[in-house]
Amino acid sequence: MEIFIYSLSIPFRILVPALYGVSFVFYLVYFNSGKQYSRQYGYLTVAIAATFHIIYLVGRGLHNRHFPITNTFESFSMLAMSIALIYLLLEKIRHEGKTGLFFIGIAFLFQLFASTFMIDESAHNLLLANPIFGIHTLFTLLGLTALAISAIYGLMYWMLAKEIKAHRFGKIYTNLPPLKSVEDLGRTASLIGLILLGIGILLGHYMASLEFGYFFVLDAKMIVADLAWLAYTIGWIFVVRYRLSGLRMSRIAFWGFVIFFISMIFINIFGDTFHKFS
Amino acid sequence: MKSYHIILLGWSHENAPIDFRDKLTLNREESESCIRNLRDNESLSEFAILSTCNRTEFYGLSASINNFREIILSYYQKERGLIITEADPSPRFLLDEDAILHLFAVAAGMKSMVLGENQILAQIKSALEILQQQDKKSPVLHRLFQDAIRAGKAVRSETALCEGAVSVSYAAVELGKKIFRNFEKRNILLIGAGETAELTALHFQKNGGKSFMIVNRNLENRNRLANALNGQGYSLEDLPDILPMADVVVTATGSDQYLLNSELLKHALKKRRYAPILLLDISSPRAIDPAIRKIEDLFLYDIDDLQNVVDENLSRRRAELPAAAAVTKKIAGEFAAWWKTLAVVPTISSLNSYFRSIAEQELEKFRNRSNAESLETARLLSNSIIKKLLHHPIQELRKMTNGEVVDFEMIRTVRAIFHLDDIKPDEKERANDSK
Repeated sequence: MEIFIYSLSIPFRILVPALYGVSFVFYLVYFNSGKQYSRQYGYLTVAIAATFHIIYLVGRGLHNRHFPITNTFESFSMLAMSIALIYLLLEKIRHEGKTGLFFIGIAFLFQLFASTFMIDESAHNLLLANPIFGIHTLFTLLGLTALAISAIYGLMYWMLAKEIKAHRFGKIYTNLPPLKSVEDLGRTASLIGLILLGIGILLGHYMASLEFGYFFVLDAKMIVADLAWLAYTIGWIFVVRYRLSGLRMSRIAFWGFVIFFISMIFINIFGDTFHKFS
Repeated sequence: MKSYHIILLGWSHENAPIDFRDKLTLNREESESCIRNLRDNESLSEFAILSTCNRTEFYGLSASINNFREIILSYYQKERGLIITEADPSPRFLLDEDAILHLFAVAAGMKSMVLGENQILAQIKSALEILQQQDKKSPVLHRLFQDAIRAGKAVRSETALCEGAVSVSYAAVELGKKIFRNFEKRNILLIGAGETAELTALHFQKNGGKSFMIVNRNLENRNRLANALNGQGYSLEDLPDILPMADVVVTATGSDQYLLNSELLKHALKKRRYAPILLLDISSPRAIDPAIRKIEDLFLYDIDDLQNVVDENLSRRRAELPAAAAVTKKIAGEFAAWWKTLAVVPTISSLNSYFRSIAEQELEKFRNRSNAESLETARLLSNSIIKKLLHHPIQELRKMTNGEVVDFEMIRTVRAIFHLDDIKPDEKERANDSK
């Protein structure tokens, strides 16, 4: 079975980015013309692409007996799949496809890069062979992707609000969805992110308890992730409880993620953490 | 030899002032009665009317071009006592392709006073309804109006000719939609209860606005508008308390001082936790201090800003005219092709049926006197003779579909000579002939 799935890996390496590319074109047409059929075809194509993408990565994982993030190209492919899946979920919930081209465009570029340079690497951290660790990584990645998408919606809100305020009626004004829709998309993305990242963090702690015997381990990366999740959750509860909205909220969503992302990079480079796998 | 033409004669805002247009306008009943009266005229094969507040146009299928003008002018003289002379604005007079293209452009909103407006499409549908209700059928004009509606819809879906608000109050609504998506759960505050405030409020209501607060000094006006909108009336003193509840604020007053300033709006924003407010100042002089533009989460548009939006949308619509013209031209071409084949294809089918039925009748007489083989030979021979006999007449008829004008008189002559109107053409032959 796994050999059969892996045998599909070569055609899927071509098919998956090609389908993302086609979907991107449909979303581009929808962005510019508003024709509903383009949105429907775009959604269908990205759903097919994501399905093949999952099969492709599962095939690689089964064949190589590790979670497929052993090298840069596999990580990019995982990231592309996460973006596509989170976007599909968002469009399904919010029925808004005008922002599809941005996210599917990124997924297409990431997967194109991954497919073009993909290599098989046998040497890897043993932790990557642990299925619970794989699930932890997957949930964490999906959660972070959703939060990143939420930050991008924050940026879109910001840009559109500026255009409306300045009385400029260019492409951004004409083609982006209304401010309220952008705000709702961002909120939904952050909620999805909090849930998925929460599950990912919990699984991470469970792994740590198995490995070190403690649920909470004094590791810089884990501490930052826990604190960031806590801050996001408290922020989210405040936003919902007090019905906060507007430009300030969009800025907080954007800068919040940027700060979180930079601190993670900083810790990865300079921090002393067991959380390195390559 | 007579040739039938599609004729248009009409006046619109492009060639006649409103005083004159008012005299010509026909309501639905008058249009129906006019078509009934004029269809009795021998020189008019088909007749239709498109009458709106900005145009009154008469469409006819007739062999007599000059008579058409006389028929219309004498109708006005007889029915309305209106004598249209050379001193009056000259009507637009177009034939065939020009008339077809004109109607399609009208349906697309390309000839409307407000470029790209949508009402005209409903008015053309109404004209088609009147045509359909007539006892005497008008197949050519019926199809012409149907195709005009098709062209109107195609232009609206394939181009941006009808996109973007082109009135100040509609531009205000569009802006609101860009911020709030819809107005269902939004509070709309009107400061002022005059005609402008009411018109803008009605636009919001038409687009889903349900919750209205009306602030005005005059109690009577305030209550009247509050009742009309199913809203709530407030005095000017209540403004600081109700402002934080408002998502959209429309000011349309004659006040000579600013009613809304930075202090009041900052307080409102704080109370509503910085949820955005759209401020539409359509007062003259302005009722909102322009200094508030600097405050985040406030979107202020005054009358000039809204007019700029309208102007920009109109110039975008004008830029779409060539694309819209290409769409109407394509559908006009399809109509013209259909029109040319309309009379020709059934005639060819009937001719074939007529000759074949004669051959069958004669062969039937020999059925008992011949064996099957000789009967089959005779059938083949008769078919071959029919083909040869009809070759040139059919060629001539087919040529007509490639020409510019259909010679209906020639078709009528052919049909009369062979009594083709008594024959129902065979469906199979009709399909072959139309290829």
